[in-house]
Amino acid sequence: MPAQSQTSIQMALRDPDVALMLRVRDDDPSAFEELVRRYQDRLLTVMFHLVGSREEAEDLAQEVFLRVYRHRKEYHPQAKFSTWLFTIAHHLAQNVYRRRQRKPEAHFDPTDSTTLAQQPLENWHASVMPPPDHQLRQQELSQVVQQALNRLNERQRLAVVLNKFEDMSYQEIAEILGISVKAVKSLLSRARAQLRELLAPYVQMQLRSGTLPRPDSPARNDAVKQHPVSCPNPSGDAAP
Amino acid sequence: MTEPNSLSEQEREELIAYLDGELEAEAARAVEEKLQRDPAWRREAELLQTAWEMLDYLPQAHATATFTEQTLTLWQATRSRQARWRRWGRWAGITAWAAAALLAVILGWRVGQRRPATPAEPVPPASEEVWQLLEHHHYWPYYEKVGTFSFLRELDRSGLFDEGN
Repeated sequence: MPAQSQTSIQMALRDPDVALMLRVRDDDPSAFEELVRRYQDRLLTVMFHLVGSREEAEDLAQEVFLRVYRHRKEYHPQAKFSTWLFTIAHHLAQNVYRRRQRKPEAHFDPTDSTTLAQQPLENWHASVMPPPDHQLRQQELSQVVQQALNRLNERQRLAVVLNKFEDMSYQEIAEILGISVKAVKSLLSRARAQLRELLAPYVQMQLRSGTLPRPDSPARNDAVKQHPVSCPNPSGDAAP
Repeated sequence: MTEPNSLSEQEREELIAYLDGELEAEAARAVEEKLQRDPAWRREAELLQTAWEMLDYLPQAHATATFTEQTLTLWQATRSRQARWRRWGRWAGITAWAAAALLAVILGWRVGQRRPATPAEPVPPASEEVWQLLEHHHYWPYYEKVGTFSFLRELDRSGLFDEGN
């Protein structure tokens, strides 16, 4: 048996999505529909956080699925299927960024106030900090976090979204971005430090009094994956 | 509002990789020791974790039925287009092969036509002359009678075979 098909079998056994994609490759018509249904929410979420607009995210997600189909015969499983899928998504998102750089006026993103997203940190904090007696609503928090995410550069944003929502390892993110694992480590470290600074007022609020509303749907990946750390805060309580 | 960075960039990288479960056992143990020992490390870990958890406020997209339907319609269109191209491709392939074969035959034939004739064995001048004489003047019957070429030439030179004689 050729080495390539042996790898395919091993990968298919390890990752059911690889098995599904191999059925797509072999022109099983029901497999593609199953693949779309299985991945559409995840892909839309990632695309939405990358491009910031629902409409554009839908167009891109559709294009990703069509590319998967068009290039199905070139698919040789060497990693998880999602790595291949999100590599395609990454390339398409890059095209969008390039297009926006060429024609900045053509982009309108209702969820992102660009001026706010580009402010210096102090101004940013002043503009996103709610008045002391204001009861924060989840919608507001969602917007602030989205704006904080939009302040990261494109690669940081993708790395954060894949790590947080897709529970991807540094190795998988490195494959998607086409960089080394060490570079991913550094990329994520800078991104998370930046998020910590951008969200500092809310982080403090949460740590002081735990007054932030609970999110509706926590991301797939919890903050601490394998090493839950009990970090006593100044008052001596355990960290959340 | 922003707390001063108490960890170096490299230390923070290690801490975040640890929180992400990306460190080897030995490196993870080293970070754990620092967390036990150093309040600055614990504070940093806490801030980073809380900020990371705030990403849970980000909206998660859910595909509408229209999106699924549109995607599958686009896929069907791509599928039919690909099938059509495959059929066209097959016919185009067959036609191309046939055309190539025909062209090869035509070219072969043309080249064969143009090829210079295989040079004949060099003919001694006398024999060639005999041949020309016999061929062009239809002297064969005379040659049969006189028996020698040189005599036949003599007769020819004397004008015996000229028209009117």
